[in-house]
Amino acid sequence: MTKSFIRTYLLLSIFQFAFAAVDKTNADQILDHSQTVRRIPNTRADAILKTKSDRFNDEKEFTFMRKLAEDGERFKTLTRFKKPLTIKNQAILFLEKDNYENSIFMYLPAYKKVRRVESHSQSSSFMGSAFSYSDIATPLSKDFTNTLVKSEDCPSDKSKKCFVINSKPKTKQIKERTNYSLQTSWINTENFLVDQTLLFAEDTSKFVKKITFSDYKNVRTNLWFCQSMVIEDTKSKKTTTLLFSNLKADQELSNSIFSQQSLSDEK
Amino acid sequence: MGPFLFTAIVLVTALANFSYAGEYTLQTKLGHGYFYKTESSDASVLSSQTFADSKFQALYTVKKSGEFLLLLHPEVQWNWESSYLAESQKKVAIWKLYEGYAKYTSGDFKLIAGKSIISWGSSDVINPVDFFGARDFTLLSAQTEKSRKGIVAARYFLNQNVKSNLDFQMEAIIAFSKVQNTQLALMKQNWGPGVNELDHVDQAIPISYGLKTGLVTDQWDTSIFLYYGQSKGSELQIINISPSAVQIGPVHQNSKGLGVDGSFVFYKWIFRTEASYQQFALVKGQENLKSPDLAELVIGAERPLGEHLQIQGQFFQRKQLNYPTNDFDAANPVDTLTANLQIYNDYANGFISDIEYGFTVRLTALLFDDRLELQNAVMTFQEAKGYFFRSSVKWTGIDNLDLTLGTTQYSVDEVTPLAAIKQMNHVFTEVSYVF
Repeated sequence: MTKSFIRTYLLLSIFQFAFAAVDKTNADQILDHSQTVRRIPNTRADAILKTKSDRFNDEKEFTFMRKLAEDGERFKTLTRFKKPLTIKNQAILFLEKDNYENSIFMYLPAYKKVRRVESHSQSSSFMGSAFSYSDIATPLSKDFTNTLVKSEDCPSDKSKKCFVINSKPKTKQIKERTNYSLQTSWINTENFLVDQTLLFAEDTSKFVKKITFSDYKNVRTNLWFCQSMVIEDTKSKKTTTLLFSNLKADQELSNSIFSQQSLSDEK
Repeated sequence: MGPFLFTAIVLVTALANFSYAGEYTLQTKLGHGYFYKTESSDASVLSSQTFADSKFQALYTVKKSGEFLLLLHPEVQWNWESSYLAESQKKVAIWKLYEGYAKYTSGDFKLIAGKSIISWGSSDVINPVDFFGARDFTLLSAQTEKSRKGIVAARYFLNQNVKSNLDFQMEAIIAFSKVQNTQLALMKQNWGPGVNELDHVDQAIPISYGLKTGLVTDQWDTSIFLYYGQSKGSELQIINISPSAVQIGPVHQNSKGLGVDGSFVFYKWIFRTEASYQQFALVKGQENLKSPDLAELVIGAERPLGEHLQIQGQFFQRKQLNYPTNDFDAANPVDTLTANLQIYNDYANGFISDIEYGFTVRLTALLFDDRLELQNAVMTFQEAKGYFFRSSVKWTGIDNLDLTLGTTQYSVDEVTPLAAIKQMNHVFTEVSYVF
């Protein structure tokens, strides 16, 4: 029995115990559980990134691999692009760290080089889409000051109830790196899955981005993977849809896959 | 024989296990360059000229499982009439195997056998530790990085996750040096009487060895490089002396190299640095014409400026450590003929100064949803009183199609090597479509 299996088992056991004990008036606990029900240790999937703007329609295909890091909270993510063919084999390794001090490495096939990418300001666009690098990272409740505002109908399904939680960055660093001063999340009261998130810059009266989550796939008991994310950027007037398919959540992914060296493995 | 035998075994094993999985891409490229001003140091090599090429590339992958990969990347290049090309290169289709290798991956290690691109070093344009990375400058591509040549080699990679935040990486290379020559753009030159078509003279061992070991963390990485083998670039040497003429030609020497590179993050900046020390010596030939040892250093930094701009700066320095200065010559007296040959040799190779340093600055803008890339770059050579400027626009408005337009301007003062380009200004276009 591998260490990772034991770790996964323990995590799930802790989660199942904690799930029953969740305080539904505590924003931190709600967010913690929301993250736990989506915390899949190993994920491999095909993905399509469709971006529409006033000027262009853009579509990119890539393989997506994600592994839970040793701390049991953050993720390592590798994306390797397949289409369009002009960027085939371009790959991005994203290593999540505390305080959003994430590391980003990029492989450029034309140069045959792996480059460390500046990650201090992670508000820049991920491959020309409406997603920024920080939008792709998994937010942890401990990085934010969270407040339960109210419960109301979920935006995507009025028959369901959602917690509405405001999250403000705990540090100036996190605010700078995400470029958001406030995040408002709608979390389903039954299964704790995120329904929608609004992201605000300095002006908290007008959101700059809206992310809608849907098509959750049940991987195991109380463990879900979101297969569809739609993000609308009100500033650039871009809308990007991220769709996942061929999800495999039960395969062990070795640490070497998420290394600088493996980035240059052209497929 | 070692790398060849190893390559053959891996290729045969791989081929025996392969079945066609039907994945391939074809890349077509059409480029055109017009030189509106050129001048060489001997005033007879270059004239204003046009240059065009079309390139057909196929990238063919056959795989049985995720463990084996066979990649073939041939290229056909057509050269139009161009006064700087050698006779054998004019109006001919040239077939090249750009890359062709078998790869086996298993867990933390990986083997590559065949012809592959070896690209050591993390800096831009100037890579002191890139001991293997020979270039082909005969095709003046819009993307200079694409001038890299494949090297026939057996390569072994290892990645060990030492701690959660620390990886150990290694790459060991045994390469067949005979095809490692850097090919310069100037194929036809009149370097002394009796030389029109120049053949490289190999005076180095046929096998080159390299070892790279490194540590990678989230915030920094560093590597050490060791090299022993043929120098990738040739040096002009006197290869024949007759009563009526001195014949000069490109000669490859043995090279021992030690290098380090590293990159780290500080605030919003990414710093990259590389340094190397290389010794050169002929296996046979005239030791009194031995090249000076070479020490090179590059320090660079880059950062984004807002959402659409990126700025990068680099400082580089080159020092020839046992440079034959007048003091050196006085302390090491030689006969008059050798002294004259030494002067000729120094001039031929541009050993006019024992030190060179300069700066590069590059500004990149990504606009229209990253579909339009504007780039301006300038490199200065302080001792040679020269500069290189490049400005380009790249448009990727349609999937699979790239269109590049640009101009380059290059100029150095009188202190240029024999038959080197003193001034070269040109405009270029390149259209690339991938099927």
